[in-house]
Amino acid sequence: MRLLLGGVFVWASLYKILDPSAFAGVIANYQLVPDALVNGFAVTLPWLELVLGCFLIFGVWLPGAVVLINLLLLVFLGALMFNVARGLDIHCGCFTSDTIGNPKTTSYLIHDAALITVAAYLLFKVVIRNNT
Amino acid sequence: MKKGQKRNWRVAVWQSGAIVSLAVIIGLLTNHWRPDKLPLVADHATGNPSSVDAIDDGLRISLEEAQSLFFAQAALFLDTRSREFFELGHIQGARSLPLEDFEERFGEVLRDIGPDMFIITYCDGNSCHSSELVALELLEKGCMNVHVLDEGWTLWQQHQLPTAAGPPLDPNDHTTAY
Repeated sequence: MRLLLGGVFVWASLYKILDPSAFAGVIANYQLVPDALVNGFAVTLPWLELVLGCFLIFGVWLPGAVVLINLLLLVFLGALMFNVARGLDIHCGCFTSDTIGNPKTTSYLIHDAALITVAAYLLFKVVIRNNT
Repeated sequence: MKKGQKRNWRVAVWQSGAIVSLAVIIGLLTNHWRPDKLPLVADHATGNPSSVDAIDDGLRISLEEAQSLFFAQAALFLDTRSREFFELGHIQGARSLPLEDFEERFGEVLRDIGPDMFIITYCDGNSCHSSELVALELLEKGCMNVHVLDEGWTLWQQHQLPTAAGPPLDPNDHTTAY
């Protein structure tokens, strides 16, 4: 479970680190972050994902990493759901900065919910039961 | 909450703070030293550059013009977002023609529409280019009056113009308003 979730976070961070400009466009498109903060998020959030993914894979600071991953996934899910609710047909930007074609929002909502289930299990195991 | 759990949460909190700080420091330093450095503050209100933005601005139509044509029933509105978003809400009388279904559904959706009909395509958001791509496809297919309403759905809602929800109506139903 740890390796799976860590791998997903590392994989998701790579394109964002390689192309922060495209990722900034994705964040701006969510229309949730003030313009002035978009680039700041674009240059730091991917590194947070990478660090969290690596920490999860190598078992470093697990309680902190698991709590943050749960928070991040909830924020991502909330942002997607919020935009669906207000009818914005935006691209997730989760694993690619490609903004052409069908955003496949429903599919990403399901992926995110599945990842949250895994993350919640880890939270229970690592923080609540303290069984690493 | 048990004592052990409380301690775990305390550990999780300080570790979370440390991890966020570490990521922010790495992110800022990496950005500072990379050749394609991103300015930390930039204006994204005009959208991000992309190859599709190179499309001739002559295609674009203002909300005011689109609105006049709508009330005069002098234009057909084509919603190029995915079907699920069309069903959640769309410009009243618009027809659904998502980019990914263009080749398959073009003939059916525009069956009763002449080549000189005024067509306005729209989608939503800064990164949505399907309205432009569908407009270009329509021009290639011989439609002569095709225009794009940028961020159409958001603007239309913001100005409280007539909207509808539900599945697309049968394009062969000639009572469909547009």
